[in-house]
Amino acid sequence: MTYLDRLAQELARVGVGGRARTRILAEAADHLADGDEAAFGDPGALAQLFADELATQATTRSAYFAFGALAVAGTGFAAGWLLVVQRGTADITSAAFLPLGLVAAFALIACPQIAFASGLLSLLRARRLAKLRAAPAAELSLLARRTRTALAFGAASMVAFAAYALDYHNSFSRAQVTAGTAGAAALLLPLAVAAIAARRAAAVRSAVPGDAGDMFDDVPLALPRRPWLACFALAAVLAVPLLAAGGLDEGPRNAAAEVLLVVLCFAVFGRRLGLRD
Amino acid sequence: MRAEVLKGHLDALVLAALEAEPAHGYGIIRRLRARSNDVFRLAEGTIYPTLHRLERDGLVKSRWTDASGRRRRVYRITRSGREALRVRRLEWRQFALAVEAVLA
Repeated sequence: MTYLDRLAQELARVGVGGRARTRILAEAADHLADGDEAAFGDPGALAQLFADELATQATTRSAYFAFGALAVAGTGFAAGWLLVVQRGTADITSAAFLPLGLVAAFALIACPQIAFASGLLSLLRARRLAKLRAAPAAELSLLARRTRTALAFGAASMVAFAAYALDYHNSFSRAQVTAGTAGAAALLLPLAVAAIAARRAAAVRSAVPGDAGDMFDDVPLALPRRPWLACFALAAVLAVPLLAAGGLDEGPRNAAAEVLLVVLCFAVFGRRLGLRD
Repeated sequence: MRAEVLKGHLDALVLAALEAEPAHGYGIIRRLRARSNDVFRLAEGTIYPTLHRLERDGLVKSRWTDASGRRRRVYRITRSGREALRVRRLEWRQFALAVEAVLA
């Protein structure tokens, strides 16, 4: 096996492929025509050097791209929601298949919030890591998890939207249902493209040592490092407008539901998203 | 000289090696060796991740050239690269003077 074969193998091992690999091998071949293999360095170490930098670049870029895709999907989602509910929301019991309707209605409230929170956390970390030449593997892994979570819940929001429109079709016009489902399906497209980019980025494996850190490393504020306190503070901030907007009847109920949702999500996704130990 | 010592300065050294005229990877290595009186000896392949990064940052540009039937990727410094090199030189002079003052 030649030096170039070993370098190609090592590049494949660390996930460097496509045009980057072709260019590296072409430049190495040209260099080795003049220099000697021993002086060029260990192929494994060289491949890892490339991977450390490319992984950082690819993962941060995919996070930006995912946030852009989520912004497009979120805007469409908001416009679609306004279109569907312009004659008021459906009576919750009027679903063609009530269990599906209830799940879709809950998902319509929870999934966009989880997608937005994960996407925002992903964006904050990407901004920080983009300044590094080669970020620690654990940090990149956390960033990739946040990006995947944001995209998954973004997609779940669209599916929930379509399911809601279909299951409550009796409460809406045919045009509203058609536009709602077609729009939701169309908005899955940018999310799918972003998911493919994130998957490709995750294939490049960094080996830089270091801790993953948590949300306090990402937020540009000097907050006390107490995750659950931050969770309850955030829940309270989100609940206040719901309390104010809902009046005496619905306000306390909506605010309590929001607090419960935030705390539940923090408990379930806290570790995955690097919010708590 | 150990590779770790060079690591933090490689970007500036490569930019300096390209300042006068464009070169391919092997040519840059030779310039670094010659200008350092053979003190800078690093695994030659490590120059390429540096060159690729400098290109991503817009500090150098590269293109394939054909010379005597041989394809080579030639790098040249950009205007931003020259400005970055100027800043690095200033920083290095301050640093070197400070270290010299302490060590002496």
